[in-house]
Parts: sequence; structure tokens; C-alpha cells
Amino acid sequence: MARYILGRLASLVFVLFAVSVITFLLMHAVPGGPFDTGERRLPEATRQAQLEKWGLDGPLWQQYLRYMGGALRGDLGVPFQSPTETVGGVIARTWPTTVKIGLLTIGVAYPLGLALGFVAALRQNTVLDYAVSLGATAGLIIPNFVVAIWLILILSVQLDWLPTGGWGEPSHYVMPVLAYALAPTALVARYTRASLLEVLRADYVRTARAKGLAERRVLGAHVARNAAIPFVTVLLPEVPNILTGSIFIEAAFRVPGLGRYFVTSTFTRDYPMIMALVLLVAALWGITYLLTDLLYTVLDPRIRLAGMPVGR
Amino acid sequence: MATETGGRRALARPTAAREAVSPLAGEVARRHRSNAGMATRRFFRHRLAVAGLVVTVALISVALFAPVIAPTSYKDASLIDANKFPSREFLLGTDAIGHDYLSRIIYGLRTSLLVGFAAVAVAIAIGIPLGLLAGLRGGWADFLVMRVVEVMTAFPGILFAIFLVTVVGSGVGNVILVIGVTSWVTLCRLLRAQLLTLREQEYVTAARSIGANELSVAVKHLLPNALAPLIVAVTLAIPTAIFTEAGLSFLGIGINEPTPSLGKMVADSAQFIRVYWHLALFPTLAIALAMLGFTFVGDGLRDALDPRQQ
Repeated sequence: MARYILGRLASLVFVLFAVSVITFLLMHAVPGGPFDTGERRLPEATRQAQLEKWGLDGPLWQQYLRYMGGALRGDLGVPFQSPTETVGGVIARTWPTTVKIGLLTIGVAYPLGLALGFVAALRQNTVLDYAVSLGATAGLIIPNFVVAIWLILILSVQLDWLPTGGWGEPSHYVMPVLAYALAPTALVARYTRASLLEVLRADYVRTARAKGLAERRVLGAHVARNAAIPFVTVLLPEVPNILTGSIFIEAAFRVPGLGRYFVTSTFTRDYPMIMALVLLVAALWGITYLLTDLLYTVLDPRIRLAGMPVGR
Repeated sequence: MATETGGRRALARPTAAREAVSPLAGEVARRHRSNAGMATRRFFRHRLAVAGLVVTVALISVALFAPVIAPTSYKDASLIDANKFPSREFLLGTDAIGHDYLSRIIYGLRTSLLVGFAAVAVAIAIGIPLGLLAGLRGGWADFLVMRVVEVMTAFPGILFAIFLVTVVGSGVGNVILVIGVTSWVTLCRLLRAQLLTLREQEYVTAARSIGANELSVAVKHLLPNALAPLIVAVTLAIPTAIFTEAGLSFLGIGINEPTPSLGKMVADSAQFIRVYWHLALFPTLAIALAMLGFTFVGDGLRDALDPRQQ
């Protein structure tokens, strides 16, 4: 087991390394640097001095090594778009907003999706089931910025209950969370329904019923536990997705979160910020996939991951 | 089982005339038709899929015949008519510059579908050869392709697309390229997985044991069987590409003026949303309609082509 985890961590480090190199190369392959985007062209001497100041002179491999050396020691550099802060500082300032929306979204989407999926499965082939299934399909397909606009049209323009966007008051949370929660709710409902239906048909559930167990115990002890397996594999990977925020939601509701830096940083050629964001997201995803696979083996001891020893 | 019933049904049909010409060709053609026929019947039993097909065909026709259908060109604008609400003269109103909004949406749809189809073509051109290489060759080729795939999946799709667009620049051609480059991984992985599974099937072993060479095994046995899920994946890649284009344009880094894009229209509408609701409503409806139509067709195809996988 330990060997397996070490192997996976090694492969994660490889992926992060590859991602950092590719990002670095692509970033510098873009014509124009951070000091060429302003209104006026800088005098050549000033430009040189700026490049030297930010460590952008010298060959690429040297710049890469210098950056990674700093990054590994926790120094992510200074963002060009706001040179008075550090990259770590910007992330620390804006990520909590994004995470707040993300956690609220998870808090709304997972229980709601679970409940809807449960109801749909237990009332299979009724109007309720069809409504949940259709709603879930639509919820997964329609882009969240489209949903965001519809929410604004209904809740702000038509009913005038909520502000169209902005940040600071509790009323600003409602629509971003609703728009953001729709897709995960749909996903959770869909998978809960599918895996419940499969488990409800299983032999051991029939056995449990046949030996006279109360329906509540059948559902609680036999159905719920087994239905949780696909839940973990499909839904855990959604978490980093939600926590890194939706650029679209933040743009639609003018939320000052981390999301907009994904766009502005590539625009302004803010090399340190781009590197930090890409590596942050890639690392979150890698770790979540590893956790998912491990949890999978805990929930279903029959599952053995490739490269895992037979006797643990 | 299913094939057997189809075959028997086809035999009952009077096809003596064709059989007289070439009994073998008739046999093959008939079996082929009955399989496709059953898939078609399964597809049309699916109400949502049929609705999706109707919507999709309608949208494609509108996009193809945009110059005929649209009341004006997407460039025509008159400031006197700016910001009109929907009326008999302007069915969907006009935007802040005085474009006829219906025409803008029709041409925006055209951009969406063009990007959707072309980007998927790029994804096919990259993903299928690499999937074939990994799945048929195995060994080092497989290892290399899978490492590339792994790195690609570590980049979250839309972020990678944003990043790439700023590298190569915006505009229709570049957006197509970027979406294609970021979406081939699914096709490649699917094809590889299919090939790996099919390689172990008994009929492939049987073909090999009677002396079929690798190429003919691949062409006659592996590819036809890997085709169905691939068709489904390709169909479902189209709405994803449409979404990505709309998203990039919504963020202001996709399609450039004067080419209309639904995503850009949504973004532009945001500042007027309190008054000019029509500017926000119609393009969002168009995006949703396109996404739903193509996805329902894809889902229907999945159920029709692969009845085991529900």
C-alpha cells in the first residue's frame, strides 16, 4: 500500500513538473512581454532595467530554475499586475472568496442532489422520477453563465429581490451559489439515482428483505453503503473543480474571487501569477484523484489498484 | 441475440431478385441494413433524442442558410434604431449599436456551429491517430501517448483553452484550433481503451489463429467494433466545443468583432440587463437550445448504438 501511494505521488510530481515546464515555455513563447502591453513603449534602457529587476533577462532555463527554486521554498514571486503584493498574498486575499462560494455550493448541491436522486430512485418511473431526470440532464448541459443570466433576469430584473452582482453582503451570495450549484446538484442526483437503482436490484438486498429486515434497515445498512461507491469516484473529483471557482460565475456576478486572475494574468503576461494558478489547480486535481482511488479501495475491498500488492 | 432476430426478419422479406445477382453481396448488405435499421428504430423510440434531432437539424439549416434567412447582414447597423425592444419591425429587438438582433443571433449561431464542427474535426485529426497508435502498437508508443494524455488532463480544460488563446491570439481560426487541441484527449483515451478491450476478445484470437495478419485484424475486427462509442463521443464533443467557444467569447477572449458570437453577445448584454432584458435573454436561449439539441442527439445515439450501455 505504501509503495503504491509513493508511486502515485512520484507520478504526480512528474505531471506537475511537466505542467510547469510546458506552462513556462508556452508563457514565454507568447509574443510580447509584461512590459510591452502598456499604452506607451518603454525606452529600451528602462525596459532592460525592468527585465533585470524581475529576473527576466538571461536564458529561459535559468529563469525557470530561479522561479522553481523560489517556488519550492514558498516564494511564488511578485505579480506584475499589482507589484505591491506577492503572488501568495493575492491568492490569500482572493481565494477565500472563491472557496466560500465553493463550500456553500457543495453544501447546497450535494445534500439536495442526494435527496433528489434518492426520491427519483425510490419512485422510479413516476412523474417525479422523470422530472428529476430531465431536470438533471438539462442542469448538466446548460452552461452556468447562461443560468447566471437567467437568474439575474428573474430574481433581479423581474422580481427585484436581489442585486445583479457585486460583493460584500449576504444577498450577493445567493445567485452565484444557485448558478454554481445547479450542475453539481444534477450530477449528484443522476449518479445517486443510477447507483441506487442498481443496488436495489441486487441479490443481497432481496435477501435482506426476504429475511424480514425493516425497510429502513435495508436502505440504511445495505443499500446506502454500496451505493456510495460510485458516489466517491464520480463526485470527489468535482470538489477541486468547485473550490477553484468558476471564472464564468465570478465574471457574471462581478465577484472579486480568484477566478478573474486566470483571465487577467494571461492577458497581462503576468508570468509568476500564471505559473502559481496553473500549478495550484493541477496539484489540487492530482491529489484529489489519488484520494479518490484510495477511498475506492477502502469502500470496496475487492478493488485492487494496478501496481498494488495482493496481500496488504 | 438481437442480430439473430434482425436477420430472420430480413430473410422473410422477398429479396430473391437481388440475391439472384449476387447472393453473397445481398447477404452482407441485408445484415448491415438490419443492424443499422434497428439502431435507427431504437433512436426514434427515444423521444428526447428525436426532439434533439429536430432542434439540431433546424439550427444547422438556420446556420447554413443564414444569408437567406436573416433579415439583415450581421454588419448592418443604424444608431437611430439602437436599443429597440422586440417589435414587428425588429422581431428580437436591436442592440446598443443598432444591429438587428435576430440577424446577429442567426449569424452568432452560425459561428457557434462552425466552431463546434471544425474544432471537433481538429480533435479527431489529433485524437484518433494517437489513440490508434497507443491501442494497436502498445509498448513505448502507448507509454508516451498516455503520458501526454496525463499531462493534458492535469490542465483543467477551460483554463488551458484560456491560456492557449492568449498564446495564439483570438479569432475564429485560433479558437477552433485551441478547442481542438484541448479536446482530443477524450477521443484518444476512449479509442485506446476500446482497442485494448477488443484485442482480448475471442473472435480476435480466432482471427489471429487462422492466420489473419495484424493489419487485417485491426481493419476488419477492431475498428468496426470500436466505431459505435467513438461516434457517440464525437457527437457529444460538438456541444462541448460550442460551450467552450461561447465561454471564451463571454470572457472577451474568443471571437473578434465584427464576427457575431453568442457568448460575446451575452457578455455585452450584462451592463444593460436591468433595462434591455431582450439583449441577455435571446442569445442565452440560443446557446441553451444548441447545447440541449446536440447533447440529446448524442445521448440518443449512445442508447441506439450500444444498447448494453444505458
